[in-house]
Amino acid sequence: MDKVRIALIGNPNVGKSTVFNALTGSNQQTGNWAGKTVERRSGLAHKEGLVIELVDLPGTYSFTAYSQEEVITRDYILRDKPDAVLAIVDAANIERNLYLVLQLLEMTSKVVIGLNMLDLARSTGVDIKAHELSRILRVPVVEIVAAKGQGLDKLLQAAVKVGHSDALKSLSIPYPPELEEKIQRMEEVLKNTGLAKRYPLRWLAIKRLEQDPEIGQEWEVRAVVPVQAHADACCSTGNAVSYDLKSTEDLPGDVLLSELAQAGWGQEEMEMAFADAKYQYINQILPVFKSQVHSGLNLTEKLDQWVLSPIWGYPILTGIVFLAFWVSFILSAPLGDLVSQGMSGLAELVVGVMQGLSIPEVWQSLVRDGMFAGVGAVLAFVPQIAIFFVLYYFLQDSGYLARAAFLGDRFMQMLGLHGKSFFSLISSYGCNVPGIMATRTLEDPKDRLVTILINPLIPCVPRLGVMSAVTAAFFPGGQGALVLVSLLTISILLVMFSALFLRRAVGQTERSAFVMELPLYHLPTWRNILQLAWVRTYSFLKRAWTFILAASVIVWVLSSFPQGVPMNESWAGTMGSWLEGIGRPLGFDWRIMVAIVFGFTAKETTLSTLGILYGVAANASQSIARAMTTAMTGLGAYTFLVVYMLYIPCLATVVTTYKESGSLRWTAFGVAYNLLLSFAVGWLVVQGGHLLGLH
Amino acid sequence: MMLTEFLTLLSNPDTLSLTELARQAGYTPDEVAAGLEQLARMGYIERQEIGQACGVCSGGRHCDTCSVAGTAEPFPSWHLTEKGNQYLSKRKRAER
Ligand SMILES: Nc1nc2c(ncn2[C@@H]2O[C@H](COP(=O)(O)OP(=O)(O)OP(=O)(O)O)[C@@H](O)[C@H]2O)c(=O)[nH]1
Repeated sequence: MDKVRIALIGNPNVGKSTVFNALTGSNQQTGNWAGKTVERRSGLAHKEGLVIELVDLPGTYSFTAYSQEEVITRDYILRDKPDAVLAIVDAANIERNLYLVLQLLEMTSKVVIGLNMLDLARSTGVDIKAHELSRILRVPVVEIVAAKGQGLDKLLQAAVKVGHSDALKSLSIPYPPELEEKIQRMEEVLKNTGLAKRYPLRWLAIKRLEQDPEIGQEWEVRAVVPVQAHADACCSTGNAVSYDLKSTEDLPGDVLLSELAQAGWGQEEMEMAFADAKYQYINQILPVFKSQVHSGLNLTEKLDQWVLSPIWGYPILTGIVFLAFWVSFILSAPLGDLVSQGMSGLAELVVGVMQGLSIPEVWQSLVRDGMFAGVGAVLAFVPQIAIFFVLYYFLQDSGYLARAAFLGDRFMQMLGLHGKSFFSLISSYGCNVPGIMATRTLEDPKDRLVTILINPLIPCVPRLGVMSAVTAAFFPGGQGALVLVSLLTISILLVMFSALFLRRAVGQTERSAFVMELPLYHLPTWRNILQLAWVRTYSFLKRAWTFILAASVIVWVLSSFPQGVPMNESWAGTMGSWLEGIGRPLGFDWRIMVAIVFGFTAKETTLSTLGILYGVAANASQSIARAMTTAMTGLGAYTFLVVYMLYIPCLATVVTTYKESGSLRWTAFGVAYNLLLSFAVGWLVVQGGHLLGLH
Repeated sequence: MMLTEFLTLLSNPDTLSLTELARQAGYTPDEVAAGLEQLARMGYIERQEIGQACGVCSGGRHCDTCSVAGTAEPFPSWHLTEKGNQYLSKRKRAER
């Protein structure tokens, strides 16, 4: 029976396996390529009395000799010479895919192109004219939708036909004259060599000019000349005989290559020039066979003209952040009170049961004034935090957050901060710990140190959540949104100021830019958003029951012992009185100072501590928000928020700073810098407020 | 010289969006994306994800909060590598 051997090639993920499986069914064999760890798959198909052997070659992007997969694919096509090669091309990504096809056409003309994923391409408004592509590349192009099995019969037929025909005159990619001239010179040198009989001459010449390592190896006749390191090597221990590999003769083309290298055409230049020329050619032929109905992209481009504009971008960003906070305040205000009331109701219930069981008063107090007050204070803010996360993910899913990051980097450019520093700072909005870890990508140790030290000034999402909760308590609705926007602005200004100051301190130098891929705008999917917001809110809740509960018990012990004294004489009160001096210029009483100190372990602890110290649970009608508003003025609350935002984020950040900087001195500097800066800015806020007649 | 042009644009100190780079260089965003991927395969540039530091996270509770993007897509971006920088400076020297 007649047999045809067809090889399947394509970029990864173009649907090659789908085609292979559909054509061969269960008639498949798998193994490994000789001497390689790459899987080899082949299978049989029968058509009109023909046996067709299909070989699924590994997915690759090119036919250079960089990876095992590339070498296997290339060697199979060149050495095993299949009757036809079936190149599967992703129509939705045709610019990328044609690069491989062009390289293939330099190796063989017995090619059929399977234009796959046409359904996807059409859904994005892309139309590919298969007959035009076929005319330009001089090989058959068959339209297929492999996932649905459409066009596969025709594809196989075309491949069999090509397999049975003689080699056609292949497409010769028109390279620019300066490359053509070099190809011809190399062809002249190589045409009488043995390899020229095995491989297409033009391809061989190009590979030689690119100094392809595999081609070089095939030629190399090397003699292994043993060289003894010392004359008396036999007697000295540990001196192995070393071998010096010596080329006995120049390889064909070496002379031309060194001549070209002297003229500035080294290996890299050559490789780049050929890749460049192929992409130029693709771009040149693209308009002939590809047309795109502008859909999403057009809207995105139009919006981006405003959103990314250096003039309008920042006011729009501020407006959107303002709106997001405002919406979150409006929505969450009634819910927070509800949780507070629920928690005090529950506390009363539990304490009632404890009383019924005659459990001593001190234990009742622990449950009511410690656990319920502490955990309840944190839980009261959960609705606020959950809504904050929902809005945050809404902005992200819509594609806006990436733009905000982009605008942020533009801003950083003015400071001369390295692009990669920005990566780390942006990560810090998620959490400072990985933000600091992300500085590992910075090569310059000075860049790295500056970025590590600036990182804690970025309010992480949990910190922002707590800040927005405290803000909601003091400044309802639009006022609150304004407060938060102003706080974020202060943090960004301080990041700027610190970058300039620290850059001087450690002498950072240059920056380089990057190109960002911005997603298309689209309507966010609620399911996605709610799921992400739930994950975050849940991790916040989980901490309330574990970490915060433990911290609440500790704070309760500190504030209740020695027993029988007023709270301000308890251990916590005594500690507070030492700290009061520092807080007084900022209008902070001892409770706030203690809460700030406890917040050092984790930011939410500040809330639970305030809940306990203000005795929230002692009075059922008292919510943490109300307790705080009676204890602090508006200016006091704003000052508290500023200090809260800027002082050392948490213990984990300090530990990470030490681990990453490897210096106790710089870690101490960072901690001192954060503390001083937060209190100094807080003091300025108070003074500024007084000047404006606020209190 | 399309690829070299992309490399040169990447060496400027301004951050660009892919669409801006396409506009400046006179190509479609798809062509630019294909070209950038090619340059990355050749080792001149690399793709990195902003706001995503999970790769360096040692695990533990900070990993679930470790990117701005949370568990969703981070923001991909392209940078010059050392090889890319060296190539460009060699070119500049040759042009002088
Ligand atoms: N929409 C659409 N999806 C397709 C089509 N053909 C294949 N796919 C899907 O594309 C994905 C990748 O297909 P594969 O066949 O695994 O791709 P591959 O080229 O073998 O990938 P590698 O194994 O990485 O080389 C799968 O999820 C397929 O279901 C198509 O014509 N249209």
